[in-house]
Amino acid sequence: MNMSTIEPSKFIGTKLFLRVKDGRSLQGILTVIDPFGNLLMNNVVETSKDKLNYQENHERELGLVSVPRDEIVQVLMEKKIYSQIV
Amino acid sequence: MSAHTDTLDFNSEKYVDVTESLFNSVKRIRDNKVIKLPYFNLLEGTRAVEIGNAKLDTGLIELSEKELKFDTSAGRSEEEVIGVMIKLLKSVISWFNNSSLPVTVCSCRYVQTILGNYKGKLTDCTFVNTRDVDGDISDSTSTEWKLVNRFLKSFVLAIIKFVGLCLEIACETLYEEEDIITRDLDMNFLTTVPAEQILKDVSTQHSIIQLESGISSDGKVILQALFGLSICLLKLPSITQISIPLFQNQTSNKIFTPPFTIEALKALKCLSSYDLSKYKAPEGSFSKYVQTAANNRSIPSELTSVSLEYCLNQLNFTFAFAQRYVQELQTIRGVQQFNQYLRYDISSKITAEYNGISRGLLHLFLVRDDRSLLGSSEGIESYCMRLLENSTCFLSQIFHPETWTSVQGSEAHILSVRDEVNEKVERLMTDIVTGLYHNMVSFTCNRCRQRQLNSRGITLWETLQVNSESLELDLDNKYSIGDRLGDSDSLDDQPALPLSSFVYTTKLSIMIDVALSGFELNLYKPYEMNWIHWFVSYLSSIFISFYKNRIDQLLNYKKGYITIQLPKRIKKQKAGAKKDALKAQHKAYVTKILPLIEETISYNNNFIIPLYECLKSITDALQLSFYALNMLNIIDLVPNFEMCSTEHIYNLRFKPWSAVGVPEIPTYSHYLRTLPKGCSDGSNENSKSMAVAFINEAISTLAACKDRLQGLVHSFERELRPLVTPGTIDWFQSLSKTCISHTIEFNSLIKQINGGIDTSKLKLEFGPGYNIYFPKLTIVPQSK
Repeated sequence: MNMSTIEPSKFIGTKLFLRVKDGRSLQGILTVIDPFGNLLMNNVVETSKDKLNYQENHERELGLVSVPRDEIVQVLMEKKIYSQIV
Repeated sequence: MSAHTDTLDFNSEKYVDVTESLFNSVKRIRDNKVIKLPYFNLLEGTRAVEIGNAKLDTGLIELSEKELKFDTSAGRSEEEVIGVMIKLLKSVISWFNNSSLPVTVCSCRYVQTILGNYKGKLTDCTFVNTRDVDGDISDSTSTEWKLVNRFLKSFVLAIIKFVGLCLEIACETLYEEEDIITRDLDMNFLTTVPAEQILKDVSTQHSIIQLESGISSDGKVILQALFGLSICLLKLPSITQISIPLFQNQTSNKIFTPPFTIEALKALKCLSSYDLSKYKAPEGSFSKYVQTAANNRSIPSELTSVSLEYCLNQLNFTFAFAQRYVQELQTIRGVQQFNQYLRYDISSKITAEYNGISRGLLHLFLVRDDRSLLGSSEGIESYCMRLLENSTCFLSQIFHPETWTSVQGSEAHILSVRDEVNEKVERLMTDIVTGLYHNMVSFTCNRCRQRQLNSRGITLWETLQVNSESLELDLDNKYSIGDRLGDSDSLDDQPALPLSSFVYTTKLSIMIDVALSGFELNLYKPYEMNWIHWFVSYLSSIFISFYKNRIDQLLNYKKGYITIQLPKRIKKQKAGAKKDALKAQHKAYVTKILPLIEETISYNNNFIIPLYECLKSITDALQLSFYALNMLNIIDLVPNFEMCSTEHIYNLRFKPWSAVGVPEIPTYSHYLRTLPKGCSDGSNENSKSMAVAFINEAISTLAACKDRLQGLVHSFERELRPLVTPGTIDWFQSLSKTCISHTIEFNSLIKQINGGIDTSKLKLEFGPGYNIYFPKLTIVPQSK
């Protein structure tokens, strides 16, 4: 399967899991994408190392979040969802 | 950024890496478009937080080690604990001052820890942070431990609950962002814990602190005052539970004062007597940590705080006003006095000092959930009826079906007409009640919002006027139901339209208010000021004339009915049951209605009419002075604009009144025609001497007005004291001072003119005046 053939609109409305440069992960619904790969995600939950206890993760809601392309290290999607869009 | 390492299992079988496919797919986007969810509005994107941008990403907020590792359960010295309490109080006031909770109350680690631990029960609320593995377990018998985990905890709980109560008030009555910011980081401010439970806990700590041996005597006094204050804050919302009997003749002179207001003022006085600056909150106890740790849909913000002096003043103000309103409203006797109180003691005194919560509480105190006023048996509906029956609708036929004897025919027909008329009247009354409720709601809003609501009120009352007039005329034409202005054989035999008259005068007063409140809000340019002065003068003359003619005629005809017509009818009537019934009716009218009519006539002649006559005099004098200033080239009353015509600006400025049919709203051409020669074209060669003549005329108008206002104030204080509220007297005094202040300024201008000054090098400046509707005018050299 040629991955580049996927229409960008297929990703819109799907739940993405992002790893950003500083190690935080973000999960949320992809709402807007521009030609440069900058994302706008809604209902975002941020997961980071708990600053009070590095053994644990800490989650919090951020709502509507813009993620510049440069900040994104990796993008994941649930296999089940991915199989539906390809 | 090493603080964050991988936080999600990105190697899980559950996921597929779409990094490449996602970013490859965007290459297919043409013409620089964006792909978005169909229902998503791109404008909303402007409020998104941005990852990786330190100014927009709360995850990147940097905290010092002390801030991060601040241990809320650790024991602290008495100075530190008092320092935290004071800073928390200041945070509350800062929140009232339009800062958000994350940068004020929630920035306190003690608050954050308790709210983080809270799961619905008071026992959850401890300072032990279960997430903090390095937390210090101090000796629980030490004074320091008790100071934090017992005394400070109680105080913090009280403040959190108070914030929770304020959030409830805000949801009911206030405007988000404008009055208060309710953003709460999704934290629950102890909604399931009753305030009484926390009050009990604080009261216990308040009483046992004396017994604690490790605290200094000063410390004990201050802590007790702070506990006392927190108790009073928790009790403050209970003001909305106080019932004040309204419009009842007080049998007792005893005025109830809410005890918590006395206690609060006492505690504040005690706190003010100490130098509290030496009590410092420990480093890290207030920080941006909450912004980075809690659910947060906002960008990073700096913490805010107010000065201790401001904080204590604001608290003092809040409790003092709560006390004043409860006390003063108990002295209200009549509906007109109540109206004055709303207008001059509440609405016009809503200054910037009134924080949103005070206004919200005041609103809930005035109009309760069940739409009762002050928790009394009086509701908006009965207040409306009382207002009508104390202004224009004395013994009005429209409200007394038993007087509709003009409806003739079969019994079924009479009944059907009655039902139809009753239904129409009831519908109209419901609309009038809605209008009054609208007015009532606006009284406790901030002054900008008041003007906006009043502006909307103009359209509302205009519609009411059209509806009431058509109903009253219709009833008069079809069924001869309705009051008349004179006997059937006289020239005055016309429909009195009492209901429409009430609606009309209410509308006129709102129209005048909207016009004048623009000065307070600094909306007008000098040439627009002259439009408004002219317009207010025009509206005031209509208002005065309506009161002096129609309303006076209406009231005197009613008075004559009781004192002349009815006795004549009784005299003519043969002895019998009917005569006895008429006699009884007459007696009731003489004892109950006649005094009310006489009181209303006196109120109109000694209060309403003089007030608007003075308003007219002041606005007339200001018009004269503005003509003079125009002639002296200090201001330009007829400016020309390149981009649009002055008439367009005029129409835009008069938009709030544009929907009004009666009275006719004057056009720009009307205005131009009223300008004296030399004002619009600058052609008059004797402009300087004319200007001086105008100023002199303005001065003499103001002098006469000042004398009249001072006479009115004396008469209010001497004779009408029970009918006039303190705020009303202040209002008249402020108008009188306005006259004096303008006179001084105009006299000084005349001196400068006589001294030969080049007036074109002067300019007009505006500052806060004695009365909110009339800014202070100062004529200064342009270089200043």
